[in-house]
Amino acid sequence: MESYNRRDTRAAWLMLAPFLLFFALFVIYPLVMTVYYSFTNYNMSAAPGWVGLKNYQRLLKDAVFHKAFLNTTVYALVSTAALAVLGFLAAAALNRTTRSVKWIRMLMIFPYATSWAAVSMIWLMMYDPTTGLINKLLRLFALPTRQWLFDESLALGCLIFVHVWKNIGYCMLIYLAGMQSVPQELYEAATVDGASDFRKLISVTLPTIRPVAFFVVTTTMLEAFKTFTQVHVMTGGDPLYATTTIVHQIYQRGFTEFRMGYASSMAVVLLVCVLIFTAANSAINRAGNGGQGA
Amino acid sequence: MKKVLCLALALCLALAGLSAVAASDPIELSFTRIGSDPAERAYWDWVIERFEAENPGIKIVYDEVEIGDSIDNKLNVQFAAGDGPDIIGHGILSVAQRVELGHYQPIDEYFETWEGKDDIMPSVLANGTYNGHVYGLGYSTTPYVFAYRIDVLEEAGLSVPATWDELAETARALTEKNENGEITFSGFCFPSTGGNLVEMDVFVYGNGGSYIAEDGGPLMTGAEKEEVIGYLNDLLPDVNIPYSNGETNPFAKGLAAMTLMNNAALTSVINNPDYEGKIGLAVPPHNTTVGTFCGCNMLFIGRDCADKDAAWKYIEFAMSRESTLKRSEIVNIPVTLQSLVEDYQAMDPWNAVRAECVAVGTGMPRTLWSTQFQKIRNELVQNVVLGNVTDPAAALEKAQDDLLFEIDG
Repeated sequence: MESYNRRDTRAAWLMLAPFLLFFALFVIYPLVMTVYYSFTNYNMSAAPGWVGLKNYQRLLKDAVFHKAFLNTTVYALVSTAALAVLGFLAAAALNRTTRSVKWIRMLMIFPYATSWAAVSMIWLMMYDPTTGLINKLLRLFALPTRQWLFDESLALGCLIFVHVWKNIGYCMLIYLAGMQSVPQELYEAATVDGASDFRKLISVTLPTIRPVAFFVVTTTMLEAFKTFTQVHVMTGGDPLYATTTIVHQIYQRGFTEFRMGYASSMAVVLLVCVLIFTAANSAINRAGNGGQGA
Repeated sequence: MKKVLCLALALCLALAGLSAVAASDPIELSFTRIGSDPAERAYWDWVIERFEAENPGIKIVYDEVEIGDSIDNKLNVQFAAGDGPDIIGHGILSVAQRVELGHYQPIDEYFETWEGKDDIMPSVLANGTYNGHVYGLGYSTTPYVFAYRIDVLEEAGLSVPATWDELAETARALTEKNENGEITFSGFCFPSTGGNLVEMDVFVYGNGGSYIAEDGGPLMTGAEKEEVIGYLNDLLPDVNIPYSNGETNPFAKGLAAMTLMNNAALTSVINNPDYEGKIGLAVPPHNTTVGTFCGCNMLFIGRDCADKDAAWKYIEFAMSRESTLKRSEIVNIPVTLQSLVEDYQAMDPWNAVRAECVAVGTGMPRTLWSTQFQKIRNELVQNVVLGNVTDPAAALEKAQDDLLFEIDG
């Protein structure tokens, strides 16, 4: 029996080896090196020189990084809340079996299937204050136009809108899968008790698909923290850093200004934030499940 | 034994064949240049085709990257991977930093024996010289010219402005607004965002200002710059359509009467049949000093170039009299060889304006802090265009402090 278990274990390790090698080379190693570089003045050309906590001390004084941190937080919170709610409502509205519903679901998933670069270019044209479709429509209805991506107070909101537009189909799909696994008996019992459709949605559907909601919130929040492409393509972080994010700053500092050490310290800060969020989200979910796991 | 001998002979023949094939493979040189405008692309296609025809053993693999962060990002990644381009076409801003990082190789030994050594303009040669060594040869000066719509000015009975006061008056007169008060046709358009907002530098140099202090350090403050900010603060809200200088200038879309524009980018507008005879060029309006921004793109040999002789051959070909004149013909770029100035001016009636812009032009600071300067200057310009600057002196002090903070990092 012991040799059987040892043989089994060896076979398991052998089968896991390719993935573990990949994981070590492309996840663990870069992670460890990023943390190391964050304590150096690495510029991608010369050998890194140890500077201790200098990069982290500079982060505390860097107003642009503070702005990027705030933007990332706002972006993540607002887009996640919007996607969690709108995705749920969209799934509830499309949780039926009529023929047209299939086409609507397909149309909603199209933006999610399109690359961020293509989506960004299209919305960049639409947001153009002079020739863009949005302002043209507003002029058509004699409504006041906006500078959109050139307006400090609106630019981040414009990007958040695009993010929600692109991802709502994905969230809808995940929620829909959860809703379709809710036992019909629960709805029948609620009907017998005289519950309205809205009441069933809130009191039956929502509590039952709580784990799905947890998954949606976690994945959309993590996706929001990684925001880069739409910022780079649509605004470049402008106007006046109103749309820059942590990942965008990492890119700017590391690849434009040769300050890979400083960029690495930003990456470490981002990692810590993501870990804190994930831990908090898991704790909330566990509390909601009465102490059980997600 | 016979079998062994036959096998050995076959192996030798095979190896000999392989080496012959390898020896006959052309030398492949990668060439990456800054800018992605179609006119200049056509020029480089012409150069590469002729160079390869004259040098059948050398093949050029061409790539271009748009102006701004993109070219630096691409080069940084390539050099970090040890795979930098063999020949690089880049601007003044890159010289100090990339020489210090070892990305550019010195070409002193080639320059000393180059037949064009005494013909290249001294100011152009200076752009590619650092710490007493020659690293790059300027193939393209990129002056910012004042572009205007001849037909619009004529219809309004206005003359081409030569001073700031005339510019303000003319721009306000030509600006059109709709019933909501939104500007639909800009009298003078000025970018609010973009990769390198040198349009501000045109005004600074036109007012006798400089960004480099006497000790070689950064200089963001000064009365000349305060006047520039005050002037733009007053003018732009009345005449401007906001745009990013990384995208199409409203002037090129027929939505503006006047603008400042990179001469190379202007070529595609001038060549547009819809604008035939409608585009005029002038030296930018000035306040105290006739001046403008004038960049310079140079050809460098990259650190990872395995065949420096072949790379120099390509640079030498691109800097020849024939190639230089062709460049002017296709892209309207002012020549960088002194002996060709008259030929250049004879090509196009507007070339005299372009040549004057080069003569009075100043480029990016050729310093280690040029990238940081670009970032802080861009931030200042955006603040001005967005109307955030109520105290120009305070804004410039902040810009100086921010730049010193960035340099210190």
